[in-house]
Amino acid sequence: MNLITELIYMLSAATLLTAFYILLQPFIQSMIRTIITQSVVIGLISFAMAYYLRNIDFILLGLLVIFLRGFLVSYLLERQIPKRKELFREYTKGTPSTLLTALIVAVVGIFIVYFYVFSNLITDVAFGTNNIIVFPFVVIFLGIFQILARRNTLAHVIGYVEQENGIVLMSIFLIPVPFIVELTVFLDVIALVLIASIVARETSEHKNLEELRG
Amino acid sequence: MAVDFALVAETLIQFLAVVFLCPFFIGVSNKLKSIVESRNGPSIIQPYYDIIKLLQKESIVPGNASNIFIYVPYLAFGVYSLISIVIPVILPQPIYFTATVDFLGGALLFGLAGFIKMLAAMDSGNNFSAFGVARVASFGVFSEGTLIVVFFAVALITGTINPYVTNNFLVSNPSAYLTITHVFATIAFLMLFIFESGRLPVESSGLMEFGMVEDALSYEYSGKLLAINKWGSWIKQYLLGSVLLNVFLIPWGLQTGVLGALEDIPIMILKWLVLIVILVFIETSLAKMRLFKIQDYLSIAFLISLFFLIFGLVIG
Repeated sequence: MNLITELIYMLSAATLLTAFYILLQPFIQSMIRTIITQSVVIGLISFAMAYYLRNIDFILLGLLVIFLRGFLVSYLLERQIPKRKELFREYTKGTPSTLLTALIVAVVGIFIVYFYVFSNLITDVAFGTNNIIVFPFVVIFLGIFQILARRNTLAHVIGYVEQENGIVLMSIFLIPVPFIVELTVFLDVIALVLIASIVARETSEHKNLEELRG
Repeated sequence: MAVDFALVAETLIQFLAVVFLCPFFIGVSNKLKSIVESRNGPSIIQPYYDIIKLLQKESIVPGNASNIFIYVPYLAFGVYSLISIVIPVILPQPIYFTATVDFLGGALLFGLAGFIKMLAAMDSGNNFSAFGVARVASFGVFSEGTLIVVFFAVALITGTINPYVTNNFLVSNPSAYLTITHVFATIAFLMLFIFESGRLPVESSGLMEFGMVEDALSYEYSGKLLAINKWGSWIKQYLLGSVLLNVFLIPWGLQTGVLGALEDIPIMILKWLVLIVILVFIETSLAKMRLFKIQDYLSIAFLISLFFLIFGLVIG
């Protein structure tokens, strides 16, 4: 393994760590800051891929990810937090059990990806080995798990943004020209964040079984 | 069978160095911490004075305690001494008892020593000891798991669970040092070491009932038994720290042979200084974690080790 692939692996691992951090973080503002960090790390992965593939497109993509996804989306989200932003939080408990459940989700996800997707679907990857696809898949799974595990609407939206981050990361590794993916995903996210900010005004928390009430 | 005197000498050097140097590192770490906190602090050799003082005092045994209470400090000391001659804590070369156990065996021996210490604490019949045991047991769920998983991670990288081969492999393959599994196993082991040595974000040392974890186990001990107990736990800290240094953090620089074994002692002291500086930095820049948060901390260490172990399997 040479240094640049090792760097890409390390940065991908860093995105996973930020995903776990978001999952455990009760403070909404801190979660949004971590989403910024995650987006910046994905931008850095894009720069590293630009060096790895000698392709200038990835530098533009990285800049787009950092500025649009990292800062614009986070700015829109952060405006939605009610008064006394730094103190607004969702009351969470049971860190070990949440972590262990997330671990099970991630591990089952890894094995599904490893034994089904690798062998049957993916044949060509821009990055040298196709094993790297595991990282974005786990980020997507953790985003879904975030939506399941939380009650706060903003936390749900953040889980969705994280999922989309995973899709962008996958596109960086997968397709030679990932601009289309970034643009469509970005439009998706902008629309969702705008709608979700209205929903967040309406109902700030979703309790169990609320949807089933007539 | 002819006796290989070089091997005997190496074994003796390693054993004596571990047993007699471990209080020194505790002293250095306390002194450095007090310098950072701009206090004068105790002398570097204060732990030796403590041990000598306690060895001269009389032991008091609770009335309803059985013999287990009296024998366990010696047994635990013996188990830790055994571990000190089966893993590469000074010499990166097999010595007399090396073939007895591997990494997993070492982890199980640590578990054995912890178990008999808990047994003795329960035997004393003290309420404080009992809640200390409850705490140690509930934290042990994650800490022992992390210890074993970290060793599995090492086995995955190097293809063996023998600590000597691992050390050798990491020295000769610098690229293995930078793999994801190794990096995150190192982080998890460092977190575990901070917990086991009772340093600041966790701080289990001290006799304050709110935060005492490890010291609750020796709450009823006094005099000679207390000295042996303390000494044993210092050896444990030294062993864990040296595994961290020689297998995970800084595997380079160890010499072989009888003279090499003597040279290894100052080399280990230098390596430990690096580790102590890292620990003092962490200790003086973080606030103490509340007791019920320690479980969260350890579960994060467990998650990091297990998760990246599986990643190592997938990425290969």
